[in-house]
Amino acid sequence: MNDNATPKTAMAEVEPTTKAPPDAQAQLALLSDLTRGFASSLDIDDTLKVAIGRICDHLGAAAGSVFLLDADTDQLVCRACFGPVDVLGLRLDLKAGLVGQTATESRSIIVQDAASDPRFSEVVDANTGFQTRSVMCAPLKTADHVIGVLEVLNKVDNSQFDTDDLTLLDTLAAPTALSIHNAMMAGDLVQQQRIRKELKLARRVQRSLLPEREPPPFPILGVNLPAREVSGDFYDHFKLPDGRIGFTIGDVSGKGVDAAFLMVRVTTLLRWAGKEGQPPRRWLKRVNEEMCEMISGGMFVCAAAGYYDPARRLLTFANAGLPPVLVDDGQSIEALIAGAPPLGIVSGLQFEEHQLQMDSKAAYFTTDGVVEARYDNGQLGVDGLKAMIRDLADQLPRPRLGQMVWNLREHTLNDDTTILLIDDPIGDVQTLASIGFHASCENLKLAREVVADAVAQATTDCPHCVEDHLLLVVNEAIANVIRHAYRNDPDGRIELTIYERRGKLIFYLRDYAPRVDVSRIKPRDLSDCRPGGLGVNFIDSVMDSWVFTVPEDGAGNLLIMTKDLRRSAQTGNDE
Amino acid sequence: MSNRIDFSEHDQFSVVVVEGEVDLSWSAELRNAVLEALKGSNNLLVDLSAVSYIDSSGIAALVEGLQTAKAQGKTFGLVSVSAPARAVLELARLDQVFAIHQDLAAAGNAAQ
Repeated sequence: MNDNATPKTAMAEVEPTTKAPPDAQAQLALLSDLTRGFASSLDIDDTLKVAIGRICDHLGAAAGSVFLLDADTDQLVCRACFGPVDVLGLRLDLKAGLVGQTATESRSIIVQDAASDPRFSEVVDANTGFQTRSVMCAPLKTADHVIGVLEVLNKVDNSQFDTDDLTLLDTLAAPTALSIHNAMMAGDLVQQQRIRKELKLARRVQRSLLPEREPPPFPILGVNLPAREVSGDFYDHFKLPDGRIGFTIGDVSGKGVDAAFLMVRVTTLLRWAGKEGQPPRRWLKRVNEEMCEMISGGMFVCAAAGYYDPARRLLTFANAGLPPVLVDDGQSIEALIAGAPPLGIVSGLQFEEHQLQMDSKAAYFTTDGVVEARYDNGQLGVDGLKAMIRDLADQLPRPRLGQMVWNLREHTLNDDTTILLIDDPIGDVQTLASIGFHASCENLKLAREVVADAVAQATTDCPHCVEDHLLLVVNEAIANVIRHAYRNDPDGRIELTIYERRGKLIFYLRDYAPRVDVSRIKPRDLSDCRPGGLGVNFIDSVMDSWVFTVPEDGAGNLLIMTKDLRRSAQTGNDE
Repeated sequence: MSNRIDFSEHDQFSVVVVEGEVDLSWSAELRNAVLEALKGSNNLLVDLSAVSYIDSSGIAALVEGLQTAKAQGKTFGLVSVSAPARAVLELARLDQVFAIHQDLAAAGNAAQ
């Protein structure tokens, strides 16, 4: 065939002519036939095999091959062939031979006497027993580059290929290249879809490693937001026979699949070591030793691990390289800085242990994705996170965590983001009322009665005028849900739950309507006298705080309103 | 207390007497009653003495009545406003917008 490193004699190339080829009718038929075949199949190899057979047949060629460029090796690989010798899979150097030259110069070549052409190699002929006399090569071109070469060898009738033949080969190369390109793109797409599917599966496997959510009141809550399909972050909690609850949270260096694999090993290791119930400083020490043996290639793991003892309300933990643990005691927020570097770097490390009497404190463990969440011009930072916690302190643990997630999502999260919250509000919160009803304004009266009952049950006194205002505000909020969220669809469902916590009444109003644009909900200017739009104003002036958000399960809308009864009792009115 | 709306005619004015809890389930009727009464009166009062509850949709009906009356050069006022209704009007700062009369006699004096 045509691959050669040692030139023998020079041979002129014949440029294809523009003369109309003979038997145009038959050529058109072939062209249309090939194009149809290409269009009907996205399997490159099948289509090419049929195509090269038809091309050889039409040109009266004894053999032919389709070579495609393998960009990884700079070689041309035979993907289909026709003729007495099977050269499927044959690899030719891009920089040598007729096929290589056709590809690199992106133009067709005709060689009427192979034996006297300097570029022709006898190696393939010698290996296959085929005797090449005459050769034509045409590049397979897409809009921007050559993807392969179409080659035909020897006329069956022992004559030589002529320029008409070359023109025809060139003509046939165009639809062939297009179909190969299409099939490649389809192949890429399939590949991408497969990878996406596998990543999705990996994500599902990873999710399954996160602990199941325990029904409230469970003192440990976690959330994990992966930056990509898979996460290098993790958290875990598990119960020990003595009543303590073990927990871990961590962040494997890097993102993506390698981090995800390590994450799987590390969570397992941490859980296994934690189940022994030994103090966190020994727990992490043990895991660190194990990981130093296991990890290589500069990877490491920031992690915290500890136990919460609900009976004694006691939190014990050690932090290896995670951001400061924030502890909110209701007055101020303390940041407890990690006492040790990340795991998996140096063996023989000692780990500092913290012990906290929790009572009504809340402890926030986070990975660096939280404090590194991007603001417009900077990062959230520990101070930003403290401010966020302070703003949400009145809310119950689960919705508070949900609101934190909501706030964080408004920022750019470049990294996996994980929060573990330890908050044990047992006895601290009382549910005064919880009802569900249809979004019909006939139910407004019922809702007002529920609010009146709840206020009567509250342990903190509620001045009469405050009660009136609370009835009004809840009524307004529900009316807004009926009118604006459900657009007067009476099948819509509304849930109202009223809690009392630390002298505050907390109202949760939840619906399942399409998401309402939060930015559109703001109080109007009262000096503007017009009907409508007063509801939000009432909420704003009566409640100490309110937030309109998305329920943690992601469906519908959630309005959380807080009224501090102690403050109202002190001032004796609601102004 | 059931919800009802009555009309009464006096020398100087017509009165719409509202009774019950005015919320979204019923405020459209109050709105219609007020706008209807305005068609036949140059001086309309809405008596809120028996209103045990009123929400923003009820207040909106009253605001619309006031605006319609003003546009037609008529007078519109509230009379004998119950404590719950007054609280809501104050909350909305509308106590300064409406002419609010203690009772019909006061409204009569004001009209002279």
